[in-house]
Amino acid sequence: MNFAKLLALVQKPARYLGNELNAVKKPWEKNLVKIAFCFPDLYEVGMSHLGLRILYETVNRRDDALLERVFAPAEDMEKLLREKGYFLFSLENKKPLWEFDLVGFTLQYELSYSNILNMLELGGVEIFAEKRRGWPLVMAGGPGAFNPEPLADFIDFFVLGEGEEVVAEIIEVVKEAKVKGWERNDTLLALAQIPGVYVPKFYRVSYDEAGRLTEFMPLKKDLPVKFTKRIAQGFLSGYSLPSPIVPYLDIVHNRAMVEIMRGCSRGCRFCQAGMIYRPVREKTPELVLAEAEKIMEKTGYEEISLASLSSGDYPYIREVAKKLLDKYQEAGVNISLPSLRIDTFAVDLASELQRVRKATLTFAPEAGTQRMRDIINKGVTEEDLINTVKAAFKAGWQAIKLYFMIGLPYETDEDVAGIIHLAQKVADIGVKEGRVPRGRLKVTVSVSNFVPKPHTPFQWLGIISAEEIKRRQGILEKLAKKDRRLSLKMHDYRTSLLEAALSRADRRIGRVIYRAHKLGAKFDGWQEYFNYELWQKAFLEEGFDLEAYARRSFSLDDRLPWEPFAGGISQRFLKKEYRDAMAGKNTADCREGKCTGCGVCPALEISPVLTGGRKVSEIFA
Amino acid sequence: MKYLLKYSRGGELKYISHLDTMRVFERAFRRANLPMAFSEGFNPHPKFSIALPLALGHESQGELMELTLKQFLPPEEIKERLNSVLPSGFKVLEVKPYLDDKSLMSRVSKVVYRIKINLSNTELLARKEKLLTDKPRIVKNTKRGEKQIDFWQAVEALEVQENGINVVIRVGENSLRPEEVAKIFLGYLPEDIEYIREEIILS
Repeated sequence: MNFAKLLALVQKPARYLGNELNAVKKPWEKNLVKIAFCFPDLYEVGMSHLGLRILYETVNRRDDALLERVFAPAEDMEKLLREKGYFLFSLENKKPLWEFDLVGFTLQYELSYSNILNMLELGGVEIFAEKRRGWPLVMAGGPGAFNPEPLADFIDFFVLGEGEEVVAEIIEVVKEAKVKGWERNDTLLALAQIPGVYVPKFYRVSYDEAGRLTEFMPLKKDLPVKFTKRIAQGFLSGYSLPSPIVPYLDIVHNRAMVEIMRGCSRGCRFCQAGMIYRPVREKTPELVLAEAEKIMEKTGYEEISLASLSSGDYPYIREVAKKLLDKYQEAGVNISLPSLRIDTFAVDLASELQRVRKATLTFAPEAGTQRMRDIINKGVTEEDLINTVKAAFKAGWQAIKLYFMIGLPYETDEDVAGIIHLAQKVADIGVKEGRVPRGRLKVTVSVSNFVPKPHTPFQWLGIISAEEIKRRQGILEKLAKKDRRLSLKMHDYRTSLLEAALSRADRRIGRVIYRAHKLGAKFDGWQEYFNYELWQKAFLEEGFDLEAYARRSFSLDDRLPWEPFAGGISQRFLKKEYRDAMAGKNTADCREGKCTGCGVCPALEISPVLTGGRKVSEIFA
Repeated sequence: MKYLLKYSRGGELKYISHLDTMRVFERAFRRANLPMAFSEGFNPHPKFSIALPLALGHESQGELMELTLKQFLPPEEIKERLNSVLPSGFKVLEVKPYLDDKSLMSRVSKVVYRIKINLSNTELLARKEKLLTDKPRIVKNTKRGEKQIDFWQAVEALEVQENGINVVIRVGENSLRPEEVAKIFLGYLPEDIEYIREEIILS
């Protein structure tokens, strides 16, 4: 392959260089366990993913294994590869996928599933797991692995939970298999013994007409029928310090990422991350500072992001942010917090962080009325929001961004209209506070469509119909049109329908994904590529109706296709949360002291790790 | 304290853009612990500017940059510190105090390019002869409509060398890109052509 020639012909060659600062290129010829980490989206998206960076460092610091990066090629590169008959290659050694021992995908988002098939095809790896012979084995992890069945036809094994914990055990098995020349099946059987690993081919799975799980049966002895996820033991001791590769390109999140905690215990009922990344584990402030310093030394980034699912909840957030700012202000480095709660503390914090650069303030009330926010357990009142934006306008912000969802369970037209009413109240405060010049005041109202996800209290419900989404979007549009202070942004309903269909899908949908791939589906998350009719066609040709499938609901007594993969969350807890949602009853955060009984701690034999001597009292219900 | 930096760009790093190059340097300054000076205002930026953007795919032996530091550092130390943290592909060749009042950008007057072409010397010489007699004009589409540029006005000198040509291009309103020079010179643009900026000449 004449690599230089390829680079000269594509638009952003820096996507494929692989020689960025701190990238690791190991000698290929040494007999290492070779892993390709495949991110099924463009370089700019994939390089922003912390998990990739953590695994990159975890594997590459071993001397018996290597891990190289592979991203979905952009359209121009894919065209060249196909025309010239080249295989999709890894960035570091420029090796085709089929030369690796393990080809791993991260499942961040359902709309990237078509890219997985495309990448396998481009990389010279057989798409169907059952037709593969010899190496490589294809694995997958990430949040999507908590409902692995839609990809069961294509993936040899799935990993539930935090990959840096389990990858060492996988490497050991592969090493032994290579030395002893094991058959593929024997290797997979050995892998299936590792906790958190699921090998679909060793299970018989069936569903009834309504899509309920009727059988989930291991075909080999001693295999689990219920999977618990893995939790990284080294996280709190700083072992998972992510490798700070510094990209040349301007990627989506182009900054030093320092994880301050994992998990979120707030318990918003729509949020899958909040459920599957439990329990909450907070790093000590000393460790956070030490990691930040190390990363900055190696990268020289202009921004440090204190990353977690809910950074405002980290008890030492102010101290840590202030210390970093004091240290790096001179060098023009700013500190950012990816997710802030709606409270005045957040505004204080954000104001302090503005010493270097001013960013937009974004808050996520998620719903327009209190009734609705109680249903989803958002734990935020209108008063909270009003006080917060008041503080924000006083502190000098002129534009505020608000995130909402429509299509939440039991939503009425008043709830929908409430979104605009709430945004108007926010705008009124901007006017009243008087500090914002006319014309500068802007409230961006970003409204996405609620997509029910597995392992959340709303997992039994389908998405609302296309017609209904359009109608509710119409209500928003009509109300927002009159108010020039508001800028309304709404999510495309068709991508939401596909996301809904794939997120709660079962093994039968593998055929549909394959057909969609054959019809040319890729980059479904990108507006310019997404083709809804193509997916409709793929569903129809395999005997399913996309929209009906996305809308299917289950009753609380049904066995759900993804039930075996809850990872530790108890069904009883989810059902209780579902009922509490209907009753508009809130559930507190376990960090406030009382265990909510989600089941994760007993299942994983772990407990939340809170700093500063805080504790959660156990319940034995 | 202002400095003039001369650096080279080669290897695979020729495939990064001007903006990417700016980012590489800004982060390298930080890793090298240089006391950068920042612009005032809403969104402070470190004070440095590159004399002339280098196109994607071009190598260079003589890029120029103006850099302002908050305090004095010996030029040799700046060079060493930067070279120890820059990714391979970038190399600082020379650092000296910049004493001119005018900005570096405004002083760029000519660039010298080496264009590697896979043709014999005789063939290259014949093409040069033809250009000298033809005196071609190049039509360019600009925002204000079509514009004609006289080749020998834009190109001050063109010298045939082993496996290619060296050209001195005037920088300014009626400027030509090296690709345009190569295309006029050859009549077509082959895939395996290489461009190396040898020098930026200041006024």
